[in-house]
Amino acid sequence: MTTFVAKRLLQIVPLVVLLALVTFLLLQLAPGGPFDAERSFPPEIQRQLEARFQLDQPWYVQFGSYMAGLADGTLPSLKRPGLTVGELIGSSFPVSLLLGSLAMAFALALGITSGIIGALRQNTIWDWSTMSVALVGISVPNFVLGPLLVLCFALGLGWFPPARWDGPATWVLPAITLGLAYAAYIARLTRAGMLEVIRADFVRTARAKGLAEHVVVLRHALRGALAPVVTFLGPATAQIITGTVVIEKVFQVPGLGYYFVQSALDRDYSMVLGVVCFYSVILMVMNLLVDVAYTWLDPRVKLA
Amino acid sequence: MAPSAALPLLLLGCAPTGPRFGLSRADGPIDELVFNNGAEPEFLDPTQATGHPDSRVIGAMFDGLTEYHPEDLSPQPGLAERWEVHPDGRGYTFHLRHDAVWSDGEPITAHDVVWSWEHVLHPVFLSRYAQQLYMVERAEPYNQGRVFVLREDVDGVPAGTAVLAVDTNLRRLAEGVTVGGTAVEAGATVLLDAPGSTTAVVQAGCVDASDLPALVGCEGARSEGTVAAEALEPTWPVRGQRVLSRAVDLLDDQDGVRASLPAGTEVVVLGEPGGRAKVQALQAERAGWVPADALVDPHAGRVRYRVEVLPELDWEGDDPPSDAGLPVEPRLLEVDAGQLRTDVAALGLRIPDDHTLVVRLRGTAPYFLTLTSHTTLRPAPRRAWEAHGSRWTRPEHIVTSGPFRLVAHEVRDRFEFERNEDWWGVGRVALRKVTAYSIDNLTTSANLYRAGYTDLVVANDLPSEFIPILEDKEDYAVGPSLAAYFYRLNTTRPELQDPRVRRALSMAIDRRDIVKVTKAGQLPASHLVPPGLPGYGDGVAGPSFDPEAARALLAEAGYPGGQGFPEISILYNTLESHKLIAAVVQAQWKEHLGIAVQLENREWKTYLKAVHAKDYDVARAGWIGDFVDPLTFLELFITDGGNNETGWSDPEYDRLIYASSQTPDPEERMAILRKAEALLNEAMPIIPIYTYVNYALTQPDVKGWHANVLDQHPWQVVSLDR
Repeated sequence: MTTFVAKRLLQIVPLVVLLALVTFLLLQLAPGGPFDAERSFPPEIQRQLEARFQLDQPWYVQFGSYMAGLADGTLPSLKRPGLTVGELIGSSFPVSLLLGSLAMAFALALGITSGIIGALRQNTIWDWSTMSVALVGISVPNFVLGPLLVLCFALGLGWFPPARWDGPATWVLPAITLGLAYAAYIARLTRAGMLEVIRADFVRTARAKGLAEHVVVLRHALRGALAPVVTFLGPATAQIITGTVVIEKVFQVPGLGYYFVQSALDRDYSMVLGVVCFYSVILMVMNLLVDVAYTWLDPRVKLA
Repeated sequence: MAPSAALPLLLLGCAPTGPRFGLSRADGPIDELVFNNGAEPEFLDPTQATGHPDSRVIGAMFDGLTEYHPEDLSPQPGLAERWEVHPDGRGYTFHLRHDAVWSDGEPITAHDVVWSWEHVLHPVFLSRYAQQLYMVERAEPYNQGRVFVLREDVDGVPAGTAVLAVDTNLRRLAEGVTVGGTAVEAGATVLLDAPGSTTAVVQAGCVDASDLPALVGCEGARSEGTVAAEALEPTWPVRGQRVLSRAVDLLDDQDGVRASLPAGTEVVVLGEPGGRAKVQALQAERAGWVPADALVDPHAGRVRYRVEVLPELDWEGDDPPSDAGLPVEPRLLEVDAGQLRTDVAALGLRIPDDHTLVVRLRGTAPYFLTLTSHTTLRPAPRRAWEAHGSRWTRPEHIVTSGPFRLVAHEVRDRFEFERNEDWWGVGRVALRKVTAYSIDNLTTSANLYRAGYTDLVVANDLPSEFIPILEDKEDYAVGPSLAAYFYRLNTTRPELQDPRVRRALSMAIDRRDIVKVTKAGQLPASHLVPPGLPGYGDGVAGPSFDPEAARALLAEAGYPGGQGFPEISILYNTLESHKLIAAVVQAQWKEHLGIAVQLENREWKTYLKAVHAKDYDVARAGWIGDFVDPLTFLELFITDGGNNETGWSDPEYDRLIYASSQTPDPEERMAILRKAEALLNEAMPIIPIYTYVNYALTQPDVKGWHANVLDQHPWQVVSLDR
């Protein structure tokens, strides 16, 4: 188990470098550069700017120096040279992490509950209504849901502020908007898993032993039914805690998602490299955690 | 993002029925203003900033020599308590107030102004808005690295004389070449034997696009050869730069170690008293003292210049005009780079005493006094820059001079400012605190105001789709803006070379249809300069909508009924309104002229690149004026102007723009500018579409925040009446 984890952690390094390299090469293909602006400035200044940020060097020199700067935390954002890439990620990631955790907690609570209800009351009004809600949750995009919630609960009823990230009252609407689609997935995965497990021999055994229904469901059936949910949770958690540009725009949350889109549009090469590396590390760590979690959920799984 | 267009429409459903759009803030604090400043500023450093959100917060933290009047933008006393214009109209003497201090307690002097302006102009400091200072005598060539003073006497010309480089023996390779069996990449710097020679000495093996450090220690690696003249393009090295021959410590004024600099570090020399030199280390972004003998000039003995000796400036501006018609033959010298140094003394700036600044301009510029309120000309703190480099603008390091000081800054969230109790005019400042959010989504900005979380929405910081429901609200106001929307025509395209074709295209557009589509109250424009500039009136009307005459012109140019006219495309950057406008123009050209037009939508950076490369037929454009004068628009289209981008050139137009800067009489100057605009209307390298408007929302209890064409609002005169 320890060897497995150590091996996987070591694999992360070359994979991140490879991803960064592909991203960097793709960026080189995009026309324009970080210092293009509608208002032109003298070629002398352009040349100085390019030299300062090594844009006049061959791409491999640039890439190497950017990666070294990322590693030791000194790489500045090209767009905001007074701030380093590390500082920009460092100030926005905690926000995304909190928002993502709240959204995921909401998604798990809602998704697993309605998934269990749907499975246990299969083909009843309970099943149909929860699964219809889940279908809506999956189908309605967050850029529609967000403004609708703002319209209803902020501008209409005045229960919550319409935007900004400033204390628990402002956390509610973005967390629900972000979490609902995940809740819907989790509900459907839980329901499917439960339906499969609920007819399995070990559940029948548990029932035969005379255990109370809630013990059967929660302790025995659910544990087995959650495997597909956990598989989904790995990449989903990596995604949800690293920000979503739409939610951040609608609610003005100063999270990380903005940089995924904006840095590419700005041709802020250093910032793009930073967020890509950061995201890929998180994604790979989450997948590792999922693999480790399987051993707990399903005693048959052995890691080597 | 396509869905963003749907959002505002959704919200229209909740149109408020009250007399105001925003919920009342009557129970809000009486001395705290809260508003959304728009996108996160890129720079808080006045010498670096270019954006509008940047300038709003910088204006509160940093004083200019003058300050905008909150309504008409006329120059009001700022750091300068008074000023005089020189008799020839080509210069100003500013008298600085004695009670102005930086937030670190040091007095603000004329030296701070000159340091800051030099910082804007010296190319190594990377200011992208240096053009704002080009009216200062010799500032433009200084910004290009071409103005020096002599270090020593040369051919009887005394040391300290200002000179202008007219040529060097330095060239850049326009294309890659092979010399002595070694390939040298395009962009590399090569040396000619002498200025004007066509034989280049290529230093193969150590050639580097950044010429300076590479030339150090390259002896022995020389590989000489001849390079064809067409492979060479002129270039100017950035001067004033030197390189450390050994590793040294950079010391601050108290001899504390600020940074350790390795050998080869590039530095800019600020002064060399005694055996020490004050330098600014570029990559480390710190300034301080190093031993003078550790500095080497990488250009000395290699780079040679042909320079023109510049005459002594007429500091008082009262010399009688020199005999016209007798041009003085300039004195030319050939000097080695080691005989030159870059020195701010060569510029048209002089400091007779700590609180007096004399500025000489290259022409008459009545607008210079409003330029001194512009962000770029607001002095930045020298000591903070020297100690912290570009990180000086963080809340823990920042040193400011204005009515408000920065207390907190959370990136992409908010700024918090408090009244600066040490500011010279603090007695009149009503606000104690200002909170400025950094929200770049227009709908979100409007929502916050609507729900009563902000006191105002700055100009155009709300979706234009809201305008129809806002028009009769008492907190809504709309006013003209100093900004023009127009189409550039690529006059290097064969079919667009004929001015008759360009006029026909313009006359076939009914701009009333366009502003009906954009729905934001814009003013249709037949000419470039927006209306309402003092002294300029409504400008010179261009040809109006006349499809009949347009068809006739097109026929005259050889395309009757549009026959034989190639298909052209309208290039615009991704935005719904640009697309709508282009579609209207496309339909009108088809209907009135019978020509086929394609729409070409590009992402912002790709669009910019295409326009700069003149890789377009017709391109959407916008321009926001920097100062309240027609010149801020008309100067765009001089020959090879950096923002011309149309390929159009007319010596008569250039002459008029130049003549306007040589005319002391304001009325006569405006008459010349009117002639220039008439000429532009005649030649039509651009098609004016409309003048932008500023639309904004302001709670009625906010006083002193006035709509004006530059959207500039000094917070020190704002108060809350609740």
